[in-house]
This record gives sequence, C-alpha cells and structure tokens, in this order.
Amino acid sequence: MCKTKVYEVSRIYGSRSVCGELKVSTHSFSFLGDVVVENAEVRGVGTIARSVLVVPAFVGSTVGPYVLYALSKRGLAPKALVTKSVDPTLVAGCVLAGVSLYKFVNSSVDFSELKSLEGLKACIEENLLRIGPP
Amino acid sequence: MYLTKEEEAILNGELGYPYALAMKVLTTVGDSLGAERLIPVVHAHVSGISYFNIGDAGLEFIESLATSGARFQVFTTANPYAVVARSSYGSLPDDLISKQLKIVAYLRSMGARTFTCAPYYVRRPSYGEHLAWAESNAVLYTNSLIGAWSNREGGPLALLEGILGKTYASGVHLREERRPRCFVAVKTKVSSPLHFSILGLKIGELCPDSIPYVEGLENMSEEHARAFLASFGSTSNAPMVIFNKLTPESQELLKDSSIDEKFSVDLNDLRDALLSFKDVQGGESVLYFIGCPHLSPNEFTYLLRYLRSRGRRSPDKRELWLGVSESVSLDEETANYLSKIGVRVVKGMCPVTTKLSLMGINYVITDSGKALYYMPKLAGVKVVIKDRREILEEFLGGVQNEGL
Repeated sequence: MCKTKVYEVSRIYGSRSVCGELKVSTHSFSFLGDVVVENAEVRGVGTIARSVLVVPAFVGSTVGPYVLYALSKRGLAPKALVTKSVDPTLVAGCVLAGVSLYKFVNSSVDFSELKSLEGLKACIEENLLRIGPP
Repeated sequence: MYLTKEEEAILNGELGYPYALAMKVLTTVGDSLGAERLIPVVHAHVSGISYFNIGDAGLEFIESLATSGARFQVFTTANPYAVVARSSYGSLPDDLISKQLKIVAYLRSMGARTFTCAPYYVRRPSYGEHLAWAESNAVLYTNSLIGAWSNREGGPLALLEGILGKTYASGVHLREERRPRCFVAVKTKVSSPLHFSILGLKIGELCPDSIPYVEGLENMSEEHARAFLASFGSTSNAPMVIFNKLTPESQELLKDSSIDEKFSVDLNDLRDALLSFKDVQGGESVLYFIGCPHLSPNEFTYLLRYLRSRGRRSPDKRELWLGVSESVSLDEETANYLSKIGVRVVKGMCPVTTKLSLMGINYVITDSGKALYYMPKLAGVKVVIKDRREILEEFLGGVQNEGL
C-alpha cells in the first residue's frame, strides 16, 4: 500500500485547501514554450489542466502571466502551483488567473522523488502538501 | 500591507473591474515580498508588447482591460512592437500584423504615450523618482546612471502599475536593497560599443542575480554605458549596476555593503568572447541592424549625417534597419533618400522580438550584445556581432560578405 508523502509549504496566494492530480516537472518551467495553450499539454508531463503542478522554478518573465491567464479562461489552468522560488511576475500571473500558489519551506526538496509520485492525488491543507493514492 | 482608504476602496471595486484587479494583483505581489505599503510612481513603462512575445493570450488580456475602461493614471510608455513594416525581404503575414496593431491600438486607447525601449529619452527621470518600469535596459539605465528607483518589473505588472499609478515598497525602492554584493574590477581599457556590449554580457554572467560594483569604467560615455547595460540585462537579473564614481552615491553604497564575490575581467576575457563569434556564411539573406536599444537622438542624428555623406555603392536587396523611438521625427526628404539606399528607420518597432525568419531573413549583423543574445531565440535568425563602423562600411561599401 502506498504511504502518503508530506511536504511543508507556505501559501503565497489563493485557497487554504486545494486538491488535484499531481504533475511534476523536474526542470525549470516556462509557460512560454512549455505549454500548449489550447489543451494545456506539456511535453514529458502530460496535461496540467486542473492539476497540482510542482516545479523547481518558473522562468521567462513577461509571458508567463498571460499564458496562465489564457489557460484559466479556457478552464485549463492548474488548480495550484508549488515551487521552490517565487518572483513577482509569477505571483501576478497566479492572481490574474486565479491559481493558488505555494512555496516549499524546505528548498532542498527531492524532485526525482516527487516525479515518482506523479499521477497520485495531491492535497494542500494547513500548509501541508500530502501526496497519496487517489 | 497597509492600504490607504482610497486604496481599499479601489480594491473593493469602487472604480470598477480593471482597477480592482490591478489593486488585487499589486497588493498580493507586495504582500508576498513583505512590502509594508504601496508608493506612488511618476512613470510606468510596459514591456511585453510584441505579439510574438505575448501571443493571443496577451492580446486577450490587454483587450479585456482596455474594453472595460482601464486607463493609465500616470505618464506611461511601452516597449516597441514587432516590425509590421514591409521590406525588401518580405513582410509578416497579414493576420499577425493585424493582431500586433490591435495590441498597439488598445494600449494607445489606455493612454500609452509612445513605443520605445528607451523611455529615458522620452521623459528623462529625475534622481530619487520612483518608477514602475519593465524593460531591463531601461531599468538598469535609470537606476545605474540617474539614480531613480525602479524594480525590474514583469510586463503585465508594469501595465497594472501604470493603471494604478503605484508600485509596492520593496526591492530597490528601498535604499538598503540597492547595495552591491558582487565586485568586478575591469582591468582593461575598453573603447568601442562592441567591447562594452561584450563586457556587459560577461559581467552579467559573473553576477547573475546580485547587484555588481564595477571599477575601471569611470570614463565611460553614455553611449558605451547603454551598450554595457543592455547586454548586462540579458545575462543578469540584477536591477542596477553600481559604477564607481558614475552611479550617484556609488561610494556610499559600497561602504555599507557586504561583498560575496570578487572578480576581475581583462582583455583576454573579451578576446576569447570575440573569437568565438562566427561570420555570415555566403548566400544567406542578411539584414544589418543598429538600434538595440533604440538609438539616442545624438546617435540617430550622427548616423543620418554619416549615411548622407557617404552614400551607398551598388545598393542591393540587403537593408540596414535603424531602431528608434516612435516619437522620433524624420523629414520626408531624408526618409526618401534613406529608402533609396536601402536604409529603413523602424520607428517604435523591435526586430529583436519579431519573428524575422517569417520575413525571409536568415542572418542579422548587429553591434548589440543584447540582440546577439536574444535574436536567435526570439527572431529565429543567426546573429553576427560586429563593430558599428564595420557594419556601416560593409553595408555602404556594397561588399558581398562571402563568409569565412
């Protein structure tokens, strides 16, 4: 039986509790170029629509907010983003798109371990990200 | 974050949707950075204007703001847009031109004054002014050479800050955040814009996310400083460079700082970088481009005089584009002459953020380190960097470049 893995996060913006399918990118992620807006597909990850998307860092300043906004207008945005580092442009994008944003408290999170949990149910509540069987 | 009664009212929707959204974004960003309050700004500069950068998503967002009544509350300028002009190489597809012109029209309807990546030539900031600028070369210029105060905002954030006339009190709006943590001694005499460009790229790589204190460039001209800063902004996230004896209060800023890393750059570092650049292969469709960032009024005047005095031997299909602000004026007679010799003044436009490959251009020859860095990714072309004089000689001489 799968154990639930728990990570401490701090809420930057959005809901205090959210659940979705866990999707993980082990590399820095750019909304420009990494996401197909029409279907929210990301190479190597699959669809990020309505997911809890976990990424080490988001890069590419200007376009990110607009792409996230466009996904949101199409009902394809992730429910939440969880990352190690947050910049003003990312925060702005999440507010525009209505996507919750969290930051890992421990910056040395193991992303290959997280990748192995991809597809499981991820829920964030009371500053804890719990990943377990659906 | 503390909000005034007026700010609370905006957040609660008293001025309508676009202002409430802008306030919501700004206060959330400010909270996430620990800002205690918002501060007024006197000039906002928006980036993310080229359709190729922001796409349909960006057009939709700007349209939603403009059509719901959003208007800039302070003096606001915007970055240049994609090259919608026709040329001897070809032009962009009509549908892309149309979308680009819509973005421009919406921003104008909101009150954008003009389109340029050098807003400091449109309205020169004053020392100590708080600004909300996106566009890295502009932020670096105003912080490093004038001593005005601006973070390196993302395009959408600067747009929303222009709508509100405010920014969050964080980052380099606070004096204690304007201190260097990286020290670079330049041990070589640097004399050409090309070398300053390469130096900027190099020092940006050494100090990718901290403000550098740079010694050894005390006699640098404004033109050289711009070339340096534009390139530096491509390889570093820092919002300012503190030039010894050039940046206002440079030595006071150094006194209270704690330097984490020290570097020294000499001629060998520049030589190695220059040797790594290849030349154009024969038979390619070549564009010459000068004006990243947009030319200063003095640079533009000088170039026009030079081009008129030299003329062009055997004009062919290759063009020289000069990037300038939309607000620059050009008399008809000069424009006609330039057109005859294949020089195109791209006012308010940016070849760097235009998919030039769609216009049939394969190679760009430029003197800009920033263009060298970004054009392969954004414009879909190969780039060669040369000194400005060499570019002009090659273009005017009609010498066909046969490659290595």
